[in-house]
Amino acid sequence: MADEPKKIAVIVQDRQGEALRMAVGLTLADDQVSVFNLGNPIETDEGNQLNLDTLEMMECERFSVNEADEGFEQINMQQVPAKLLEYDVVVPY
Amino acid sequence: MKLGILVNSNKHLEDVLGLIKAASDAGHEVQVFAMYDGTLLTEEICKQAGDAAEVAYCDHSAQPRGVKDVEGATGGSQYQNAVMMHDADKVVVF
Amino acid sequence: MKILHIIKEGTPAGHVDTIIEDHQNAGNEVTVMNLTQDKDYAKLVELLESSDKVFTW
Repeated sequence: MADEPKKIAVIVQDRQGEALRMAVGLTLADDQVSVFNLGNPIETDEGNQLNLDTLEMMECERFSVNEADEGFEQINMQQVPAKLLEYDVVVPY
Repeated sequence: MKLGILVNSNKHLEDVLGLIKAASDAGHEVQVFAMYDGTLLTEEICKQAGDAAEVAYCDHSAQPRGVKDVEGATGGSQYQNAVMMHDADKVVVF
Repeated sequence: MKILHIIKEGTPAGHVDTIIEDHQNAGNEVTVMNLTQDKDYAKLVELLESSDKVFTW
């Protein structure tokens, strides 16, 4: 693997559970993973909560356009395009 | 260029195969990781792409879809996906 | 900055258009490859090679 950590953004669209599971998995290569929820508020089921807790523990930044998403930093759609250009890899899911 | 292709749906087989072939023909290294419904395409990707791509898939997604022991592919976990994302120069998602 | 946006079957409307438009308006060199209309994969590979950032929607 390359030595330097990469910045990876996972964009949550319509498959929340899989997107969050993948985001957790992507931390396994010691990259800096952030999550952007651009879809509906995250459903608070057990699986999502576990993945969100893990992302918090791994110090992964979480951004959301929804005020209802607890533990996410609020971002508006006007800020998203420029913010995404800070990342090496962007994975919409 | 190292190209990573994440296949997370089963709706874009033509695009996946077309990109693998074009990238391989141009001398690029191609890695594929299949998860979610994308695992349903693993066998076909391996069959048609042959040596043009290194293919791995998520066992967690594959098992409930009846996908297992795909010849030419490595069954694994999100770790393989993480390594692909880390190593790839460019990543495309289908 | 050279930015490649890849559109495919099933790409959601809405925020994708907003993001592409913003990248264009910010003075970047933006290329949109719509795979529902253009299946030139050799061109796609060339674009991937030459782009600084890649987004697949």
